[in-house]
Amino acid sequence: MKPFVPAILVSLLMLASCSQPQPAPPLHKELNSVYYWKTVFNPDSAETAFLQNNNVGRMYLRLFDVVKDNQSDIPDYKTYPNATVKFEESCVPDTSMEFVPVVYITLDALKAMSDQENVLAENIVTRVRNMCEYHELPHVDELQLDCDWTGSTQTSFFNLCKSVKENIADLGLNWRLSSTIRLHQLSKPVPPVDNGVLMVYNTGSFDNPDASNSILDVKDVEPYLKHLPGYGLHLDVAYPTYSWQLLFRGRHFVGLLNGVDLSDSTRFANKGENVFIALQDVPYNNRMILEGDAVRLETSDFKSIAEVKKLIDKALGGKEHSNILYHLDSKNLSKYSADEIKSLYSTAD
Amino acid sequence: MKSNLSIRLLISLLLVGLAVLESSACGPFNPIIPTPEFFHKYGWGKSMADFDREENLRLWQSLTSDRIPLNDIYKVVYRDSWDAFDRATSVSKDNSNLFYRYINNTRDDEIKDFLQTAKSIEQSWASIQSPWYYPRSRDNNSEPNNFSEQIERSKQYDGSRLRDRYALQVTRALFASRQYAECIVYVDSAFADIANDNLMKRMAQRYVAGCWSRLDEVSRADSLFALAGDIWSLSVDKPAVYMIKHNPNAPQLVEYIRTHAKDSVLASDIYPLARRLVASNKAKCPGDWNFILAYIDNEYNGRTDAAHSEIHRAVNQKFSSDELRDLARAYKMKIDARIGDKSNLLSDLKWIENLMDPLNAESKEWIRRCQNVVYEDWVPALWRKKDYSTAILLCSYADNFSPKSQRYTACSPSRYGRPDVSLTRQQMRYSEDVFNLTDYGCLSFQLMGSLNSSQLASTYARIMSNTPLYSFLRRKANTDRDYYTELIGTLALREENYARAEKYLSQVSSHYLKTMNIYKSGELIGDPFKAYSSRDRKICNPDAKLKFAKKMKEYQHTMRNGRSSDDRGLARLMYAIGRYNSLNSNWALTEYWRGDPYMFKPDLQYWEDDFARENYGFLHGYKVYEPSYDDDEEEYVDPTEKIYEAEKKAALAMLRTDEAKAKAQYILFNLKTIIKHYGNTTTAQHIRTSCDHWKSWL
Repeated sequence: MKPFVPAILVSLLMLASCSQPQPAPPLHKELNSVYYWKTVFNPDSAETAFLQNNNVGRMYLRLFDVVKDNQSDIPDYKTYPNATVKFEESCVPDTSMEFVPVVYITLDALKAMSDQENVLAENIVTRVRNMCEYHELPHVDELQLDCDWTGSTQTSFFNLCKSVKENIADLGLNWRLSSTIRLHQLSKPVPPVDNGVLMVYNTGSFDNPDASNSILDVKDVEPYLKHLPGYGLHLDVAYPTYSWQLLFRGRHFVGLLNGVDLSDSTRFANKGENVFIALQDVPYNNRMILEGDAVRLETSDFKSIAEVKKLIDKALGGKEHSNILYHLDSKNLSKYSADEIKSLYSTAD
Repeated sequence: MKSNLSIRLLISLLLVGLAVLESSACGPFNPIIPTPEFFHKYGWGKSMADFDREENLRLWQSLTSDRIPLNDIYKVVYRDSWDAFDRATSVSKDNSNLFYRYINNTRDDEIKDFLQTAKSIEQSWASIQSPWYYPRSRDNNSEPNNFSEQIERSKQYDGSRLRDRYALQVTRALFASRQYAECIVYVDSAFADIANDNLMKRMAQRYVAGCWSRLDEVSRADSLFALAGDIWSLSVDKPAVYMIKHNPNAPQLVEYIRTHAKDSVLASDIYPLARRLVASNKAKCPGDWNFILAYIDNEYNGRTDAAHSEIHRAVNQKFSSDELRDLARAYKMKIDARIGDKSNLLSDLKWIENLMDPLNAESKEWIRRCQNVVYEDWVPALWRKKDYSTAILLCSYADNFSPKSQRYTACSPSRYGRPDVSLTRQQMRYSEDVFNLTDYGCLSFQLMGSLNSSQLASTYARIMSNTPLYSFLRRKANTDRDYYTELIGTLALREENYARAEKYLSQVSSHYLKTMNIYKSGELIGDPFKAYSSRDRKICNPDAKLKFAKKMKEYQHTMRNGRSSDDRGLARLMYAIGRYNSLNSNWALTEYWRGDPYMFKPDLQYWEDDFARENYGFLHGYKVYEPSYDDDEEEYVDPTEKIYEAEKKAALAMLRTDEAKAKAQYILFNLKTIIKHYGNTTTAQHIRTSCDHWKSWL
């Protein structure tokens, strides 16, 4: 074997001298962060004030979803971007805040692009690059993929991550790649990304009529915490600050409601802790909540979040990380006091 | 009732089982009425792009060389990407595509540069039409896809050969980059001195229409789209009506009407306008419009006489295409049939036979078209007029269109479990082993079998007469004497005319009888004079029908002329058994297939049941069999069984002596009755001495 050693060394040196390495992406700093998950980007004054008052240094901004096109067989068009965020004119603040574009990939889309992840990766990176430049998003150093991959789709998602990183390099972009990590994904291999965001919300099944709170339940979180100390990826942590109303008819999930006045006792009767039964037909956005339908009000109350946060901080064992609130919405955030928000952002044990 | 029900159910299941076995062996082979295009076009039809492309390919041919196949031009101009084009034209290697070979060998850089520019515009446009496209910059000029470079390059062309093509590329690039106002102005000036019928100019005008549409000038856009023939881009509710009013001579309009011809609302909308157009003599292709009127009158208005005049007028006029002219003549054949106008039938058949020539690319479609005309129109019309000879001969002509060399994959009883064999129709027809897949399942054979023996005999005589039409049809039709004679004999068996049956069956050659499916499948094995089911298997006899006829004739004679009442009664009994069996267990004596309740129903692709009922309800055995197991329903009694039981009873009543009665019971296999009531007869003695363990039979 010895005679070959010099040849290998020469080859390695030649390779090293030929390649043009990209500058390393900026380090991932610990910053108070927030997700922006609406379809129109137009933070109101309360939201802008929230960002300033809480020294939010990073915003994860969902740009579009990737969904499957059932009609097309052409690889480029087997998936397409959906629900692209609309930017209101001059709404991007002139700020030192980092923006992390986020792309949500549905499982159907991922499956449709199995073995053609490179095509999807090129489409995603190019489009994100164009959107960032078109809307002049400042301080973009990272791209995040959000996908509820499972054991059967893990390979495809990992291939996609690798291809996205290659495309980022090919376009000369100086971006890190991150991905969301759901609790169930903690027990699986680590995706080939630079860092992750642990999603500590949607921990239960929202369509289960018997669940008490699908947004956050400490009982749903606890079983996964054992994987945190040894997890091989830098993780930031995202906590929920939203609430929603879930409509059930005959124990079947019908859809999400928003802003229905459940305190109106002429229309709804409180049954149990957070379940309301319609006493009559109630019109709602061109639809009808029928008499007898159940509406479950789910919120992210500070006590629950704090309880889960304490467990997670303990499991992380003092590792540096950022805390992220999901998501920027003045109406939801107004339910928390300044101290509570401060406490959620705190990374001190 | 319950037990009867169970027996019926069991019998039905057995019959279905037999039917399956039967149909897998020798038929039936349901005649199929093909549904080719006449006026109505299936699918989406041609698009505006198809019209453009057809014309453009020919223009490219005239720009380069007539020897370059259109497909080669199509690949280079329409299919290949910029990269593929670049590779094929930058490396000097031989290319099997003659257009590439032309470009490389002639160094026609003018064409090469143009195609590169056009493909570059196409590529940029495709990228911004992708759902993944998102502009990178607010400044249109700094966008890599703003087409400015391609526009400049195209405008710099100062030659004349490709001036119109470059102008179209500028138009496309301006449109693609959403510079609608500039695009309109540019087309006005760039094409000012180019002829109006120039394809590039017409295409550019459609882009102008698109620009107006995007500038919210919809009515202006519509009038330009109509002028350019682009009916598919019109925004109005009734595009066909709009087009007839604004540009009735656009070939795209007829294409649109053809693809929407099944739309009765559209038909009634355009009918009065089409009629006015024809009357005004403003139609450039009046043949097209008279065809449209004939189609609507025949299909929707129930005015077949008017349709007849219109279609005859049409075929002598100018059409927009040869295809439409041919289709009009084929449609004329249908209407002639419905009217009963045979005056052009021979000349039309000669004409359509030329189109069915195997060397014609559309040969198969023309065969389907001719079969449709015959099966759907001519046969029912002729049958209604009792012109059986023309109906059968024409039908057989249509049944036997396929070329002599066509091979069939057939099986034989000796080859069960082994691969089927491939052979021509003629080989199949003469084979004593392989089943004949065509001659006993075709519609013409079913027509023949729907007449009585006397009618078929006289029909055959007429079929063989030497009229010009019949001589022409006989070239292809199966008019084999044995084929007809055997069937006449069989029909006579069906009619209980055994003398006639004997006369005809005795004329059939032994070889032909052995080629019949009923012989090959072993259906003629059983003894028709056994009153009970027998496991006796005799060698299949090709003369079975003739022997049966002779025997039945003999019984008929004895029934009338027997010396004693016993003789006449026993003959009557045997006759009743023979008759019943020939219509039931020994059905192959009177039929050619049995078991499939739908066997005579023509398998009409996409047709309604009503059509079959109205036009082919006369076919022998045509019925929709719907078994019912409703307990409340009266018990079904087979009419042949009813007659059999009555005849049996009458025959037994005629018997006077115990010897005769015992003989009759022996025939009926009632051994116990013989021993019990007629124990002193020779028959009883025979049973006792000839049958081992005879007691066990009782």
